[in-house]
Amino acid sequence: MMKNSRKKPEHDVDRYIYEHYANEAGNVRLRFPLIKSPAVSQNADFSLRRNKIIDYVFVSFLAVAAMVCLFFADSFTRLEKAAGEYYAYKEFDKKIPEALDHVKTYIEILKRQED
Amino acid sequence: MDDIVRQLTIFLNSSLSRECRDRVFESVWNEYHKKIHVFTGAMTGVRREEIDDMTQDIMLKVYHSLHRYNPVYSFSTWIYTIARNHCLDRLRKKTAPVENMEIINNREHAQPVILTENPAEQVISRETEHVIQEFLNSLDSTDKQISFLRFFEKLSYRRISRIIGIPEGTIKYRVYTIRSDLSARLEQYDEK
Repeated sequence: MMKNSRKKPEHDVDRYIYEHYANEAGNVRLRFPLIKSPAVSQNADFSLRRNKIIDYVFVSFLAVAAMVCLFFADSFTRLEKAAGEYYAYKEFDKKIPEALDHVKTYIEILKRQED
Repeated sequence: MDDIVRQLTIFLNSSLSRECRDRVFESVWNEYHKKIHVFTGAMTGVRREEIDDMTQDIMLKVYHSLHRYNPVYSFSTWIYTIARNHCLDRLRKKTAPVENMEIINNREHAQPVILTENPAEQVISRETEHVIQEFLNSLDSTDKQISFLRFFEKLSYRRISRIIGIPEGTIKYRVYTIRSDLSARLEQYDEK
């Protein structure tokens, strides 16, 4: 019981730790900063500039990629059309002899009728 | 503190000009550089010169990341998370020999600022300060971070939990343990 009564109250302990860190913080001597000095400012500028350059390069890349895609899409459309026409002609070519046969038969029939 | 968040909000909504960034950073520097220094020291326990360098690096990181800050969240949580991650990176990269207790205690700058007027009280304060310093130095890195964030920064358990990545309940328990251990240590000192 006696021991407990001598124990440091919580708020005291909290205050001690707070003061300890406050003392440590009070002893910190750091020069303001590097950021303001030309070297680091240049670094900061360079970093910002570099980010912008990366953005520009990325956007340009996207634009070029989109143009290439459009070009290929257009080429494929043309190719498909050409292929369609080619096969259509091929089919037509196949049917010509058949049509000629019909014409010949018709001519023969006409001749017979004349005779 | 609110002023920093207000300035940052303006900065984030503006054209992100350099002058604006510098102005905001100046406020951040004035408010936080000493705290970050102590926090870094508590977390890493390395030599003072190294802590100075690390603090500069952290503040530089903060400067470069200002545009990424989300005002929805607390600024202190954000900045201490950056500091903590930087320290962890540094500790991972460099297995720097951790300063032994004697060197820490004999830091040339570590002269405690005595807050009392009475010389007798000053002696008590000095000795109490010594006991507290010894006790805090004996804590592990996580407990040091917790004690700093809780007792000095007076952050809520939730924020500390977010910064350190430990459940809130564990933080509460650790704070309780730190309090009672230091209390017992001071009691022992009183008995002597």
